[in-house]
Amino acid sequence: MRNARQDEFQTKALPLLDEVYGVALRMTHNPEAAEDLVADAYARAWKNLDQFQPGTNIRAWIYKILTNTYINNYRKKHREPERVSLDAYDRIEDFYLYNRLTQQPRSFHADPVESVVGQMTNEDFKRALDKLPEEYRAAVILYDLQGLSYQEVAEAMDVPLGTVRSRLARGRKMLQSSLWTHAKEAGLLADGFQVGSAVRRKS
Amino acid sequence: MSHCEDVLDHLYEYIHSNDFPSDGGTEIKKHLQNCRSCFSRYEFEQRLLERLRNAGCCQCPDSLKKKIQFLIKQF
Repeated sequence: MRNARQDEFQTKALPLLDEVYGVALRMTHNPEAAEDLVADAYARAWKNLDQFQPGTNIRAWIYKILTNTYINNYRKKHREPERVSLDAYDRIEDFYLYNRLTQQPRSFHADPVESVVGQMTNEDFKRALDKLPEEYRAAVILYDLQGLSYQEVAEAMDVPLGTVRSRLARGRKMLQSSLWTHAKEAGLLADGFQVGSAVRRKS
Repeated sequence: MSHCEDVLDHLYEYIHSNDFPSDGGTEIKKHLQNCRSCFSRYEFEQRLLERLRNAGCCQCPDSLKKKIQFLIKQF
């Protein structure tokens, strides 16, 4: 006999597999590891179903288990050294990408915002996300992309609310500055923009 | 909450519509209707997040779905 929790798991947690697998893939960068991570997390969720509080958000609970499983079992043993100090990101203003793009000269046929956000491929966006250090990436994925609340992200990552907020702020800056660098290097900006033109000439 | 700075401080929260003080949303909404500069930022960040969300979308392999359904039947 299935109980109410098991019913909720079947009807609400199983249909999340596509999005949960997507998050696992962004966390691990590897399809095989992502499959193992999702299988482990779902197995743990199912076994510990009595810990789930009915009436609370089962989606946030699944992400909490996924994030915990990832942190404990999957992330790299040795952290990659930070290439840029965090202070450097604290000096970057909010809305970095918007500010850079709107300060570009507009030509008759190209709007810098459109040229960049419209023309970048899904691969470009995925690469920028994958480049974030993992704790920033996890915060951005869970809050900005999956729409969890601050409290749910804090519980999933097992850090205080203030840490979630600062990781989000820095993570967004890192992401936006990496998208900006990519836009310049790939020559995505409108004609007349020097760095983009120079790159195009060189290639 | 009608100053640009206050609105921009809460822009991401507004976009997600979670973590929001119950009355704050309407104030921001009103401001965005009247302030072109903030609205333009709002539109941009929203669009950027949309692209990021879609970029990460993918399908869970059928083999994994079957594996998990099998596992659930076992216990």
